[in-house]
Amino acid sequence: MKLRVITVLLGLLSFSGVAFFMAPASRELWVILAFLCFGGILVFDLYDQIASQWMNPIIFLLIYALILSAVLEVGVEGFWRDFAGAVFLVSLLFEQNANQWTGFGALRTTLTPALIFLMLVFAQSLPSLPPEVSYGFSLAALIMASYLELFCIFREGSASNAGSFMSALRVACVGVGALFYCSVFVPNLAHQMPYNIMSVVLPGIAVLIALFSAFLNHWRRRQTLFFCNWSLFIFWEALSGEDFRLYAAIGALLGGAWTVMMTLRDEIDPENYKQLYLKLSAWGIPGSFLFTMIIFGISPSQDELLRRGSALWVLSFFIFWAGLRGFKIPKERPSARPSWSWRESLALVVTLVGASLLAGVRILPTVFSDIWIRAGGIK
Amino acid sequence: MSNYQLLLPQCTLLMGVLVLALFEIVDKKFHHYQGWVVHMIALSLAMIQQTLLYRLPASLYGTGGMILDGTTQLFSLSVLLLSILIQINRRAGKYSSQSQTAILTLGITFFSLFAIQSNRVLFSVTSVLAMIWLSHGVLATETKRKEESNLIYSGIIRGVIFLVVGTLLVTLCMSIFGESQMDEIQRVIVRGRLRQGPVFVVEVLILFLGALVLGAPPFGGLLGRARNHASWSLSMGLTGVFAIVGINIFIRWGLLVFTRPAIGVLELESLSGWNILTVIRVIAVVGLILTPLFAILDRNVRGSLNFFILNPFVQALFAASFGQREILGGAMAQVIVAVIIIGLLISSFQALDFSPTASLSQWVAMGRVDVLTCLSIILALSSAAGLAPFYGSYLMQKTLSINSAFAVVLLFNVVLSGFYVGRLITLAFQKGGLHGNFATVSRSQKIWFTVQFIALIFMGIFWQPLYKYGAYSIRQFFGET
Amino acid sequence: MNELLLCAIFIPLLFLAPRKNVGAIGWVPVICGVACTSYFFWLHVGESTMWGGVTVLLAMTVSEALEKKSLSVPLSISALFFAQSLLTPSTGIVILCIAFGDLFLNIEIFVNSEISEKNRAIQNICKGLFSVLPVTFGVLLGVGNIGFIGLMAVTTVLRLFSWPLPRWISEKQKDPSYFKLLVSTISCFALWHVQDFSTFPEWPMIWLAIVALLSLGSEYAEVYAALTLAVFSLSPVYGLLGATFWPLLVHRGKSAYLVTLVALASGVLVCDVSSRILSENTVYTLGALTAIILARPFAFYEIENRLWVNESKDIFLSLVLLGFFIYFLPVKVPDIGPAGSVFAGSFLLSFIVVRSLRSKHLKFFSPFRGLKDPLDQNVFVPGVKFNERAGTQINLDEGYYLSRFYSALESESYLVWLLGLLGVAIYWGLK
Repeated sequence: MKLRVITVLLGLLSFSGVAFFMAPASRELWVILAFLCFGGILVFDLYDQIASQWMNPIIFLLIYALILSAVLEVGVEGFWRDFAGAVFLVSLLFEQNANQWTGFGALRTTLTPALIFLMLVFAQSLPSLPPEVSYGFSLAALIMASYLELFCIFREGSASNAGSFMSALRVACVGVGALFYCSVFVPNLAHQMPYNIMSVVLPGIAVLIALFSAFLNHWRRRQTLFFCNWSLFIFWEALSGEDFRLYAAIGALLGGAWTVMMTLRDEIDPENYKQLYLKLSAWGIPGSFLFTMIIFGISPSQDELLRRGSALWVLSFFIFWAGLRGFKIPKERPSARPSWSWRESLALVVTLVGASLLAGVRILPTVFSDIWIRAGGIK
Repeated sequence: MSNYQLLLPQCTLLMGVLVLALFEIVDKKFHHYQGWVVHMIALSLAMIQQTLLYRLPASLYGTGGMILDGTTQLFSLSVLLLSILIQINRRAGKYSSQSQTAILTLGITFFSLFAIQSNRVLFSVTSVLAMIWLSHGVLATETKRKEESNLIYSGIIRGVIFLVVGTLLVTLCMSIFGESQMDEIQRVIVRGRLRQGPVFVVEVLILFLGALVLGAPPFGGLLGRARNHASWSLSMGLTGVFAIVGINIFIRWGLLVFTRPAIGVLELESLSGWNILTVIRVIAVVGLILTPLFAILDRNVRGSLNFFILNPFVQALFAASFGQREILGGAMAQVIVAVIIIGLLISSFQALDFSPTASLSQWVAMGRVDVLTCLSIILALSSAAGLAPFYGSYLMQKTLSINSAFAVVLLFNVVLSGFYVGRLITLAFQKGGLHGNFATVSRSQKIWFTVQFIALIFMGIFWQPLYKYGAYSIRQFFGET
Repeated sequence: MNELLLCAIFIPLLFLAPRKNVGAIGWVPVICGVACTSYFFWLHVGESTMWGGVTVLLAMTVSEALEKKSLSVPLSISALFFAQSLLTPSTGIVILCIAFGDLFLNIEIFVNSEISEKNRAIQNICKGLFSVLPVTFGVLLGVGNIGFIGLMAVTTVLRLFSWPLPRWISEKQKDPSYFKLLVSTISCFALWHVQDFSTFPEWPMIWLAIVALLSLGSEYAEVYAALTLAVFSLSPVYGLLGATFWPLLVHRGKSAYLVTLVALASGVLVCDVSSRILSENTVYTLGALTAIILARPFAFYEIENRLWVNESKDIFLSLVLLGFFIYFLPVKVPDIGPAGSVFAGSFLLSFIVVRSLRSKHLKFFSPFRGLKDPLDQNVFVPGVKFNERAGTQINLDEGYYLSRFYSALESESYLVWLLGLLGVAIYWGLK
């Protein structure tokens, strides 16, 4: 186990170092963002999922290498190819680490959306397609990647995907990919017809998924869909074309990827308030890291469609929060008390710090914008 | 330039055959390990020699019956690499204790190099015929005794059928062009004094032979059922060797003879009235649909894999059929990737000791038995399907960017190939009882698999060197020296 | 200075929240909160709407602390957030402060509940978020003034009234004090104090009618608090004066009679001012009807016997606040017009009738039963549940026809067929 942890750590650092030195100035921050995402996933691996067997760290590093390669690509075709590769490997990880299931079907595997994603990527290369259709394919591909886990939601044992490192990797990959694509290749897409309608369509999809999740009988499966919606939320923010919302998307990406890993899976101990706080924080309730990112993301805008989209997002999040009314605290303390290590403490600190960021709701976007511009960001 | 130097790798292989034969004559009992070492030395030496042959001044029109240019160099290296990969996996195979297998396998490699590097149709036809007979011979050694005679008989029939067509081709070439040398045939065509009818027949025969040797559906049948019970290394390895020779026939006998670079653009145009590029494209399109489809329908794992490993070759053929400089270079590089895919598949299945007659039901929950080996197989097949992030996806992106209605078929191929791979992945991690006994894979083997599939992925990420080599191999044809 | 920045200082003290006996350190957030609040007083001394409500809140908090002789850290942090919500002019920030205030209030409930009842605190968080949804939509969609006031009213109804829907905060044990109710009221006051009602002068009368309707099932404290908001929309000064009597709402002692009197005065004021805007007949009719209905909850409550010391303390606190506001605020004593007289008369008459008939337990005067809470876990349960299920099994072995097909492909005769096709292709091509 230790060897695997050291291997993945060294791999992460070496890939990051090489990518950072190879990157042009405008891409360095993207490399740092990817490093923070994936590094956070590794640090907050509370249950040592990544190091449980050798294939997990190997594929983890391969996915990271692909994401780094994607953010260093000059052309959009290369970016999509690397991104599709990362999505494929993430779906492979889902299959490999899932609980055993029975039966076969296109709608019982995460490979179906990964292959559809690849088809949409390939279809963009067709020169006979008008640009509108090509952009539409790319947006559809990002939506498909966000809902990778929806396709296996009816499979036996799918509840175990919630809080798994595969889910965190999906959030990280789709988040970095969406952010990079929207801000580097199509920065003004949201201001053009008919793409501006995505400001409402994307949250509309999220509301439908949230309503669907209300009919799922296991809270962990609902949480899986919550984080699928979270990926779409990041995409929506990145597509909005507004600077402060882009920065909010970056924060939401880090918050989402880390929070998935911080999701506690142990049985609830009614006397352990720290544990309870971390569990509830994974739903984005007030006082959590995710809640801060929600507030930053739905900040009022001059754009009418974005305002409607923000309202729909609030509705979708509320539908998930409404599911918490079924949250049951056991009447007795569990016989096996969950362990509390430095990782759990770090997770708690990060969640609290993230929650307290809300205090800077008026000043932080400006501060972050200054840092981004001075560090040679994309604008 | 001396043609004798071109024959150095072949001579090395011949020496290997003679040494192995000598061992059998002198020693009463064949020592497998000795034979294996001699075989490996011969192949490795031939590989090194072939690699160093690039230093010779290369010319598209070699004097005499042999030729060495970028494409032959690439195909020759591919065949030798595949042979080495086959042989690496026969180190401890239970079938490989027979001396005939080693000699015949070396002979197949020997003749495949001739088939690729020959400048004359007659020599190539003869070499391929020898390959067919030797293949059936070697595959027969790995089946049950009572099946041996049937397989050898079958091999003779198939060889004769091939010979008939090949002889017809040679005869037509001699009568129409007065030559069976490729470069001379092209000169005759360029002069434009021939009737189109006979030229058309020659083209059809060449394409038919190419498709037959490649084995892409519906043109399979040269190896037939001989592969069903043999070892994984020979079954899939020989399929790969024939596929490389088949691609060579399409490229060298078809594209490079009956087309020429168009003036002003980096693209090929047909020399004859019948556009051979379009016909190759049609053959490739049929192969793109039928290859994954037959693989999907075949519930026997060995059978489906023997179809599916042809997928990268068919994709390369489709890409090459557009005759564009950039895409042709990428298609050439795909052949090297296909070799590595086949090597990884051979080593994985051999290590697991997967039964040749196993159906998909034996594959269920394989990933729960040995996840690393299973994932190696899956990633190799994903690469064969052309999924991202492997090299095939780069080639497909480039091919799709050509403004052609045939591009839709390529997308359909991705759908079918993706379905095939997806089904295997899904079944590999399902809940299920295993019906077969599988060998335990050693640590060194696992490391070897990991290195191979990481290499496959990095060839997809850092595709530029591969592509440059492929483009370099065809540079002379487009007038670059 | 960002109001929330100050609140964020106390978030790490969440670690201390579950423990009651925290000693001196538990007073740190309270002291810091008082200090910060005092600082804001000094900054906004000329803006009564900013510091007036906070003063009332602090007075109620002190009253509660003196009554119980202890102070809970989560409760004090909650009060701090609500105080901050009163001090900010931005509706969005108000909503955020309310959300955090609710959170800490529910932490208090969680910590003090038995294990079997701790679920309620988590459900309350959900309900609290639901109650602020309407006004949140209003902020996000940029709804116009009148529409926004309507949405704000919906939020107020959800947060303040226990009829027709149960109030957002629920506890199993009936708390003898209305402290948590009043904390909820403060949040409504925070939303109202940033709005401009001058463009909608009909609103106080409309709100009075709504309050009267909702009083059919509500308690008197809720009705009084809502009446204060009606007066606030008329004039912030009068609203603050009405709010000075909120400390009397914390407990149900004899001081409730004083509350009744002030409620009467509030209704009179609203009717009088509205008579200048609306037609007289409308105001007389509405005023009379609302007065009759509004008197019910005030006449129907059960007065508890409290120690005269505690009663006196509450009355004294309110009077001090009243005097304080009268001194600092420009208060004008309004004239009572005919509309106000109609309201007063109807109210008094109704009060006397209901009070005298209360002992007969007539159903007509009892509070109406409310609806079930749609967010209660036992109420709304989807009938259809999408469970995990086993997938379709596929045939993994080769069938008869497929094996025949592949055998045919592998046979020598297949090559002959291919030769035949070759011949056909050549013939067709040559032709």
